Amino acid sequence: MVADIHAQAQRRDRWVSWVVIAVFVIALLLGWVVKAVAENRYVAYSDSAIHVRYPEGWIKLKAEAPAIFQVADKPTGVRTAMAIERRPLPPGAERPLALVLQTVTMERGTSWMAYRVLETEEGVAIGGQTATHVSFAYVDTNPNPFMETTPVVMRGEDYLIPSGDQVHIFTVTAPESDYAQAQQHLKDFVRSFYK
Amino acid sequence: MKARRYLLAIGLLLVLVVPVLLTPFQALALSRTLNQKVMKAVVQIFAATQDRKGNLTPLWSGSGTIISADGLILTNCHVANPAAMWGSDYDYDVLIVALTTQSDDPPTPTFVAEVAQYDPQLDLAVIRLSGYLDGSKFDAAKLNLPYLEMGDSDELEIGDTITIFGYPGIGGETITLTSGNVSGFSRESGVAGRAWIKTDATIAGGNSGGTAVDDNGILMGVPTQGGSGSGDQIVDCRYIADTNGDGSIDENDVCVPMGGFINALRPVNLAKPMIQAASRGIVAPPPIDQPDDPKPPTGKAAITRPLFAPAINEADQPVTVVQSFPSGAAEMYLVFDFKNFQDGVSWQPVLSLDGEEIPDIWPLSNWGGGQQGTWWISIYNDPLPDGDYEFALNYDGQTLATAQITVGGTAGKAPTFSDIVFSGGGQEGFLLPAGLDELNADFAFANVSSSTKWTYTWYLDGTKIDSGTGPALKSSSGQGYVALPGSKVTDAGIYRVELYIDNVLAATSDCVVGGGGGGGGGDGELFGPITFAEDVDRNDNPVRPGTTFASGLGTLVAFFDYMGMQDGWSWVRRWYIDGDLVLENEAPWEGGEEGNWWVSVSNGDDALPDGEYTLELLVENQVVQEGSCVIGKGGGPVTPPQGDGDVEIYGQVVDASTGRGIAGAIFIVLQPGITVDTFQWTEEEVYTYAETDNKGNYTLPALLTRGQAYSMLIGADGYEAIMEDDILIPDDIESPFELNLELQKAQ
Amino acid sequence: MEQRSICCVCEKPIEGEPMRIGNRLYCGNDYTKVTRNRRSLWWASLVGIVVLVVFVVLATLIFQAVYPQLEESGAVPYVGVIIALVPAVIWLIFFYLQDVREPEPKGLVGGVFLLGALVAQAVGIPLIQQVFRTPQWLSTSPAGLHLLGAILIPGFIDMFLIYAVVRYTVYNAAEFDERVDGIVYATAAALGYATVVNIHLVQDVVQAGSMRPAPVVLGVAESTMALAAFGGILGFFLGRCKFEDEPVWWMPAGLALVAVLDGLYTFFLNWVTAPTLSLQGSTDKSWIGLLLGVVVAGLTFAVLFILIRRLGRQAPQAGEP
Repeated sequence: MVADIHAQAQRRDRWVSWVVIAVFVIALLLGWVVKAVAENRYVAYSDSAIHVRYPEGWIKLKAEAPAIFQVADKPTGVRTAMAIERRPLPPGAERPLALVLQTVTMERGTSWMAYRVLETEEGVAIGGQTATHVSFAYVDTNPNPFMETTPVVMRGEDYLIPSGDQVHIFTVTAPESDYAQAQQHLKDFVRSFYK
Repeated sequence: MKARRYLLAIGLLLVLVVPVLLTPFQALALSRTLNQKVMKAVVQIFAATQDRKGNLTPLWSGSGTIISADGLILTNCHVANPAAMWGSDYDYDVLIVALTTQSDDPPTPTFVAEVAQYDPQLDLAVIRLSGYLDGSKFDAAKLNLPYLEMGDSDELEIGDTITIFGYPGIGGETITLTSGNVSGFSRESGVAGRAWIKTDATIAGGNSGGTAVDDNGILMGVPTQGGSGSGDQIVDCRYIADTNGDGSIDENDVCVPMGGFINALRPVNLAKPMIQAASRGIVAPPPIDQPDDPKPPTGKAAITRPLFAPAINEADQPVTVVQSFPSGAAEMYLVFDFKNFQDGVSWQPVLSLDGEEIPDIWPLSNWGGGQQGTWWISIYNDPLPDGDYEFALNYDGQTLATAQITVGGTAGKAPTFSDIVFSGGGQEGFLLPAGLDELNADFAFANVSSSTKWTYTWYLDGTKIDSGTGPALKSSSGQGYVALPGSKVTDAGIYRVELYIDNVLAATSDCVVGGGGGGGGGDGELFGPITFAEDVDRNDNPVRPGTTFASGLGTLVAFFDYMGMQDGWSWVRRWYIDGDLVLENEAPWEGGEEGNWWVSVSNGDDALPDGEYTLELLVENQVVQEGSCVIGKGGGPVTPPQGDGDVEIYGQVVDASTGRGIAGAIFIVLQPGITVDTFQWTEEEVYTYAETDNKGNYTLPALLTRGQAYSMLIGADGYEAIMEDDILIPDDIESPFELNLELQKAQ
Repeated sequence: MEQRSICCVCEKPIEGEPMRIGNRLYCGNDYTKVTRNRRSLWWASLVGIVVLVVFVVLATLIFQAVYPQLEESGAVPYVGVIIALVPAVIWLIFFYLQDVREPEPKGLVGGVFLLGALVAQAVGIPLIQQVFRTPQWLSTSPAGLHLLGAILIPGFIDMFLIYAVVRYTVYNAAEFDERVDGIVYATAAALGYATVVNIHLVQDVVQAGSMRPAPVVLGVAESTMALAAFGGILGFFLGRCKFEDEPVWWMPAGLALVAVLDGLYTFFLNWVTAPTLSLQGSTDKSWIGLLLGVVVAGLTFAVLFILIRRLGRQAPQAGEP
C-alpha cells in the first residue's frame, strides 16, 4: 500500500512536470506572436495623390521635388530611407523608362559618392504591377562632420513602375547591415501603394 | 529583537535621506562641456594653390569662427583675402576649412569656402562654405553646424574674462586655448564704436582670425594680427611655402606673416554689418565711384595741430581742448589734421606711459582715411592711470608727430570754452548751406573772469581768413559766440574756428558749408531726394523707377542729384535691409560740385532678398539724405537661418550606468503645441533636432524661445527613449544653456 | 498480515501511528520536521534584505566618493564584477547561516546556486537576447504588448529555468525533506540566476571602464531581490507539490503566477524608473528601483511566512490522532 502511494506520487509528479513544460512552450509560442505583432506595426498615410503604409516609429520627411513622399527611420545620420518619386515619361522616346533610369543615374552619380548601379532587371512582378528593378550602392560620407565613423557603404534599390505618362520610382536606401530588412520594407511599401 | 528593529529603521532612513545628499556628487564639470562646445565652432583656414593634377600646396593658415549653422565663418581679411590688402602676390586657388573634431587631434580639413564679404581697413572678412573637400556637393541649409552666438562687444568691461581659441600654426598643431582679461579699449575715427579691445592674454600670432569669447561662450572679438602694407614692415614674415613654384623655398617666394604675439582683438560689433550682408547673400559692391588709382599726393605726408580732448561730439569734433587730464579721467582723445596721406600705407599710433611703450594699443594697420582731413584716436580705461602720456603718430614707418599730456592732479578751475556749434541762415549744426549772411560759432564758457583775455581765428580750408579779440565776457559762465561776417562766407568749404585763452588753444571745431545758392533739393540740401530703380541706362538715367519692386530683383540702383559738394569731402553711404545695417562705404567725394549720382547694391547672380531697403547718405559724418523702397512683400524681417528663438541648448547624452557619452543619439524638439502623444512623426511637427557626436555631445541648431514650452524626445539604438511634454524655457535662463541627459539601456 | 507503513521521507518503517498529509505517510519525527514552522528562516530573509540594503547604500556612497581614484587606477571593471556578485552571495550566506536547526547540505545549496547561474548563462540570456531579441522592441512597444511580452518572454523563461533547476535535481533527493526546503533551494537557484543576470548588466561598465555607482549598484541589488522573491514563491509551490496532495494544475499555475508577477514587476519597474527630463537634466530614479525591490522582496517573504505558518497550524500535530 505504501509502495502504491509512493508510486502514485511519483507518477503524478511526472505528469505535473510534463504539464509545466507544455505551459512553458505555449508561453514561448505566444511570446513569439507578441514579438511579431510588436515589430510589425505600421502607419498608414494617404492624401489626394497616394496611400501607403510604412513602419511605425519612422519619421515622415518633407518631400523635395521630384519626390512626392519621403520617410526614414531616423531624422538624421546613417539611416534607412524610402521615397517615392514621380517623373514624367518622355513622350516619343523609344524606351522611355530606360531614359528616365539614365537620368536618375546621372543625377545620383554627380551627388552621391561612388554611386554604382549593380543590377537592372526588367519585368519584375510586384504588387500586381510590372516593374523594372534596379539595385545600387554608394558611399555615405557621414553628414555629421563631427562624428568620426568609417564612410558607410549604402545599398539601395528602386522599383520603377509606369502609370500612364508618368513613372513612379520607389526607392529604399540603407546601410549594408540593415539591407535585408530594408528590402522587405520596400516590398511591403510598394504593395501598400497599389492595394 | 529590538536591535534588529533599529537596524531596519536605520536602513530605511538611509535609503530615503541619502539621495538628497548625493545630488552634488552628480554635478558634471560644466566649463568642460562649454569649452568643448565652443571648440567645435573654431576652424582652421588654409589658403592653397592647386596644380593641374589637383595637388594642393598650403600657402598660409589662420583661424576662424563659425557664426551660422549654414556655414558662415568670421575671420581676418588677411587670412581670407590678403590680396585686397597687400596685392596680387597673395592670390590663391582654394580656401580650405578644417574642423575641430577632437581637442587632442589636429583639425580635419573638410570643406572648401569662398569669400562673401571683406573689409581691408578693419582686417575682417566673412567666408561661406561652398562644398566638401572631396568634391561632393552639400545643401547649406542642412549642414546644422555648431556656431557661436555673437555678443555685443560694446558691453564688455575692463576686467572681464576673455578666452581665445585658435590654431597657432600651419604644421598639424592642435587647437589652443588662452585666457586673460580685458585690459582696455581704443577707438579711432572712421570706426563706429570701439576699434580695438586690448587684453592681457598673450596670443600666438597664428590665432589671428580666431575666436575670443566671454565666460558664457559668446563671441566677443577676433584676435587680429597687426599686418602692414608695404612688405618691409611685416612682423616676422616667414618663407614657408614654394609659392612661385620654382622648386625651392627662398626669398623669391611670398612670405607669410606669422609668429609674434597679438594682444588686441577686433570687437565683433564691427563685423556685424558685413555678417548681415553675407547672411543675406549680398555681394560687396564694386567701388564704382572710386577711380582705380587715386592720384598719389603731391607733397610730403604731414600731421599738424595735435590736440587733446576729453570727448568727441556727433560731428567728430572735439568738445573742448585740454592741456592735461585730472586723475580719474576715463577717456582721452587725440585729434589732429593730416595731409598728403595715401590709403594702404602702414599706420600706427604708438603710446608710451612714463617713458615705457605700451605695445599694440593700435596694432600696425593700413591707413584708410583718405588723403587729407582731421582724424582722432582715443583710449579708454577705468580709470586711466596717472602718468605722462606720449603719443607717437607713425606713418609709413616714420614718426610724423608726437603729442604729450599728463594725467594726474585734480580738475582745475581754469577757464574753459566748449561745445562749439555753428549756426547761420536760421540753421544750426555742422553742415550748413551756402548763401549765409554770416556764420556764427556758438560756444559755452565757464570759470572765466572779466580779465580773461581770449582771441579767435577763422580758417577756410586751411587758410586763415579772419581773426580777432573776443569781447569781455560778462559772467563767469554762460554762452557766447563769434561771428564770421557774410562777406567772408563766400566759398563752399570747411570752415574752422579756433578759440584761444591767453594764447593757448581752448576749443576748436569745423563745419562744412555748401557752395552754390539754394542747394540741391531746396532748403540747402546737398543731396536731393533718392529715387530707386531697377537698372541704369547708358546716360546714367534710372530704368523702371519705383518705390516697390517685385521679388527676384538682382540689382537695386539709387539715384540722387547733388549741389554744393566739394571734392575731398568724405561721404558715406549706408544700406539697411529691414533696419539692419548691411553695407557701409566711405570715400572722398570726387563728383564735383553739382550733378547726378547713382549707387547700387546687388546679389551677384542671385536675387536680392525681400525686405525694406533704406539708403542713408552722409557728408562729413552727418546724415544728409535718406530714402526707402521695398522689394517683394517687404513685410517682416528675413528669418535668420538660426530660427527665431533666443536660447541655445547644448550638452551631452550619456549612458546611465557607465557615464560614457552615447554617439548617434537623436534629440528632437517638437513645434510648440505638439505633444508626444499627438506627434505623428512627420518632419513638419519637428522644431529642431540634433545628433550626438562620438563623445555624446550635441548642440541644437535652432534657438528655443524663452517663455515657451516644448515637448522633447531623446533616443538612441539599444536605449530606452525619454519623452517629455511641457518643458518650459524660463524667462531668466541664460544662453547658451547646458542640458546633460542620461539614457538607460533597454532590457 | 500487517504491513508496516514506510515513511516517505526517511524510508524507514513507521513506528506507531503513521501521520498522514494527503497521500503521503510520515513517521513522527519527520512529520514534526515537515510541519514545523522555521522562524529562523524568515528572520534570515528579513535580515538579509536589510543587510543588503545597508550594504548597497554604503557601497554607493563609498564608490561615489572614491570614484576618481577608481577610474584612474583602472579598477572599475573589477569593482563592477564584484558589485554584480556580492548581493546574491550576501543573501545566500545569510540564508544559509540562519538555517541552524537542520541545515541543508552546503554542497547541495551551493550546487543549486551554481546550476542556476549556469542555466542563466547557457540558456536564459541567449534565449531572451538573441532569439527573442527583447531589448530591441519590448520597451518601445505600446503598453499592452510591453506587459504581455514581459510576462511571456523574460517572465516565463526566467521562472521556468529556476523551476527546472530545482525540479530536476534536488526535488527527488532525500535532503529535500520539508516544505520549507522548496523555498530554500528555489531561492538559491534564483540567486545564482540573478548573479549571471547582474554580470550581464555590468558588462557595459566592464567594457567602458567607467561607471556611475548609483544606477549600477542599485540596479544589481534590486534585480537580485526581485528574483530571489519570485524564486521563493516558486519554491513554496514546489514544496507543497512534493509534500501535499495538490492537483495536477497546481505547479503549472504556480509557474504562471510567478511569471506574471515577474512580468508585472519588470513592467512596473520600467515605468517607475524611467528617467524624466527637465531642464536640470535627467533625474536618476535608481533609488526608486531599490525601494521597489525592497518592497517586493519584503512583501513576498512576509506572505510566504504567513502561508507556511498557516499550513503548519492546519496539519495535526505529532502525537495527535
